[in-house]
Amino acid sequence: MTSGIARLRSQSFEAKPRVSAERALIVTEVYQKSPASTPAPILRAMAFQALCERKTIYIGDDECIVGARASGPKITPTYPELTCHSVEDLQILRSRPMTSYDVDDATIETYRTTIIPYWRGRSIRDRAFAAMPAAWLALYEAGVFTEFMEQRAAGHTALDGKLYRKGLRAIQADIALARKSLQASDARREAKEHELDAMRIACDSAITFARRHAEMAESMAARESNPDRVRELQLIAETCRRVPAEAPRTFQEALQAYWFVHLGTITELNGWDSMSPGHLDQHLAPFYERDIRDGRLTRDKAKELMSMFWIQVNNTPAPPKVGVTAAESGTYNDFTNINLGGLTPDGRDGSSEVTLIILEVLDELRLLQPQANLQVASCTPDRILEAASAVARNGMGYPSFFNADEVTLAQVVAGKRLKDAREGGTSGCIETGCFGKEAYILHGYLNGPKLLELALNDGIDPLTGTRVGPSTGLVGTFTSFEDVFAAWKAQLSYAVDWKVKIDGYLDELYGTTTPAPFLSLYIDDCVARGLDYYRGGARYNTDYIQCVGLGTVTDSFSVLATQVFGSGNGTSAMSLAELRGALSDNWRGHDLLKALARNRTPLFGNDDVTADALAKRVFDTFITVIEGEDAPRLSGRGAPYRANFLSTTCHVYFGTKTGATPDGRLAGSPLSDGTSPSQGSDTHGPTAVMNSLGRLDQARTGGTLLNQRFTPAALAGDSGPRKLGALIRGYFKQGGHHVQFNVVDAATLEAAKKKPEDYRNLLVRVAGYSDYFVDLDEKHQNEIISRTANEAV
Amino acid sequence: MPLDVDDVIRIAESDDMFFDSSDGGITFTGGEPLAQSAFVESATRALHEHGFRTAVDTSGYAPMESMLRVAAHTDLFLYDLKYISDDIHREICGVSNTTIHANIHTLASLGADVIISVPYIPGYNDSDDNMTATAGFVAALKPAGRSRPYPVRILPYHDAARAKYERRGQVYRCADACIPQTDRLEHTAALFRTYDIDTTIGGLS
Repeated sequence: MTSGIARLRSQSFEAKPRVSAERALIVTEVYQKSPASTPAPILRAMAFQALCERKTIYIGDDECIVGARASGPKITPTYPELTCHSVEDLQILRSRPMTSYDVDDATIETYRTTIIPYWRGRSIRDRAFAAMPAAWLALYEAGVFTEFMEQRAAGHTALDGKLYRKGLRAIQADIALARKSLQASDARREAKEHELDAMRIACDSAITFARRHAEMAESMAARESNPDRVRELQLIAETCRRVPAEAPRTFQEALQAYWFVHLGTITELNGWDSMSPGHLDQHLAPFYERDIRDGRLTRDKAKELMSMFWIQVNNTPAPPKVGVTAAESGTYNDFTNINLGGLTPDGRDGSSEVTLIILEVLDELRLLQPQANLQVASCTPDRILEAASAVARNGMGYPSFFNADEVTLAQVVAGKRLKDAREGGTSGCIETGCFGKEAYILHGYLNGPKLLELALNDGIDPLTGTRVGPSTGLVGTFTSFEDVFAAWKAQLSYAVDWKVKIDGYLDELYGTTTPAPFLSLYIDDCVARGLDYYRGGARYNTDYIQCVGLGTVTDSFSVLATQVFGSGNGTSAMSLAELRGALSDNWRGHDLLKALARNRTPLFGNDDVTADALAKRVFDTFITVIEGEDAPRLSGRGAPYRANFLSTTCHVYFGTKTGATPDGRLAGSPLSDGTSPSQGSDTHGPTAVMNSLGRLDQARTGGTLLNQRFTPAALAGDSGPRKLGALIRGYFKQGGHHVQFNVVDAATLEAAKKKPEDYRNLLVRVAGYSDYFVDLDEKHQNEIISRTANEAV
Repeated sequence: MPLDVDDVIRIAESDDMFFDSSDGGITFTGGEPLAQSAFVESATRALHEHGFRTAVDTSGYAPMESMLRVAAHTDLFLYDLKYISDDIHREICGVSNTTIHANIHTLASLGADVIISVPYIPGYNDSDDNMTATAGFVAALKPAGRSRPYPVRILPYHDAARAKYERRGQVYRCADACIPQTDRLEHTAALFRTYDIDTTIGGLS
């Protein structure tokens, strides 16, 4: 690490996330001054233009890759047009113990006097909640599902290689052509003209934003006395005059071009999973190789530039969330996830020297973000897999590992072109998508165990006594396991129907009020179609619901099948009434029944055919209900609904909303995460867990998630990475989608809990992303500790 | 729960895909697998017929006939040498090491693949005298068809079972002093290496 990188890293590490009202003020002014008749895309483009022209810009000492989301490192803007924080929200933000943000009094005053008076009642969040039907609210408040779009824009924006081949001037030429080609007979001609005009404005705005950085670098150079820094500033100026207006020519220009596009996207809106570059190593490899060959670049310099880029991503904490969303995704991590290795569009190994450089940067900097993952194809060389495993065993939770062959298959199955599928990969946590060509929109988490609780209580939530789901029969009327399963499925269908209905309403709200003309420039075929990303302009469109608690539901059904309905030996160890009694007593005083549930029931994650068949049935039922049983379920954009199996931190929030479950889980404790077995259920080692998950047809989903934790001893020595690599390959051969590793021991975690100040840098894998252990609340901390620690591979 | 040979094959097959990528296989451990040599013989034979690699983790304390039956279908032996002096071996293990030494000589003469395990327990077998004698013994084995001695793994004593003893209300008799010091382990490994023995500390690398 150079001394400059060390300084930038320590600045990034030490700076406390801070909220700035500057963006809110500029956007509010544009909205206030614009006539009500201004078409939405034009209004959004004008807001983007004002931000690019007026927002405070920043170039830090030592930086060569430049540009900040707000006026400096770790400062985050707000998006009152989506969620308008109240004064109370802002006060909570600065005082809450976990993931707090500095908010100064002047910011609160600006909100009180200017932002809140304009946006209260106008923001998407206010409008959405004001319009929600009681049935939806009952489900939402009971913790049956969450709603992503109530306070952040829909996300999953990862890019393909376009921006490295095409500058904004060339994209503007495409826009002009598309506008000229519009047919007089096109019923949507006017709307398309507005959208294309908005895109043209967005191009000019981003070029202006870059030019301002060039001017700033030039004036800094004029005042600078150190000749080395003067040369750097001159190169920054030259780079910012070139990109993103024109296609980049060098490694530095390529990184800077991406960073400007990234900043543009996250300034325009605050989409979930901010923005990801896609296959960064593949995109940069040609620039790297040419620069090295021509003597313009050394490996060390490339690594330094990559480190600077990495630090810039870490300098952009997630904008502060409120309410349920803060609970389901309580983190500074904004989920930029970088794909490494994988396949080229024509199906060859995509790894290169740049892959190894990025792995080194990841290992040396140890920052919260960006995340990185290795896409492992059968043609990925062992040395690349082992290099990535050697980083993973250091216990930061990254890189995570994905099965590139399965990721390709899942997309081809969903109807994508083979080349497009291979250029796709994984973004956010574990979500499969087609980079640069797809709007794959996540709508929220769905609580499988809560639906079982409703099924066992005729649709009444026993925690509140209120009706949440439909009446599916009192348990006294259930005479077989099939009756219980059918009741669960009916509760599931009802909840998904409501979720999809309201998702459609929110889709429409975003599409009509908050289009994203800048983002649309980089997603095929928005320009050619004259259609916004949020209106179905992308080549591929998919809508996802994320199913939570597969392990908890499976184990609970297994207890019902085995212990209540006697599927094992034909004898019933407890009646349904006894089980319900134990649940309402939170298992207190029912030690024998609990022991039967935990110790005499086949549980998911042990390579047990009976339990795994139930898991497959639950998994398939989630998918079938979400995709639509009789006809495909389509969103307002005409996109198919599909299932995803990640939980982020929502299994903890859902756990707090779910009473005791038949698998012996206590009320309020976390549900199983992702597609991992329930905490403590898997007792037959990692290969048994993987064999169990191998029985699920994972290519039917938009992603599954498997957490595994190893103690450092298990992966020590020269052979550690090789063993980890062999384990990963063994899982992926069975169609596994994803696996990630926490390599820490329980004693370390307990110590970190007691003395957080000594463990500030302890990164752990939470669920699909890494976080600082000491930034997690006690529930999450305990949950990570209780995950089975596998002592040996 | 007792297993038959079909159970063993089924368990092995469940991890087949991991063995493909790791060159792994099935290890028989104990207790003492050679105490059930007839079963181990038929299980290892069946595993070989199905294309699996096999290993046997043994104290070496078994009739030579048992050892030879099992050796026919064993790809790798993990073989304990606890103490070279027979008197002390009798004292701390309760039996003579004559059979153990005869068996390892036989395996060496057959050119069998063997990794020697040397448990390292301070206060019992950790003296330089014993470790030097052990290294000399290993170096003198001269396995057929090999230019170098069998590799050695020094296995440091650990107290992972302490919490389990306490939960069961049993007294855990090994004192903290049984946990080896790292520098002593390194010293012992260096001693083995002077005999050209490939030596590692710990059993899982």
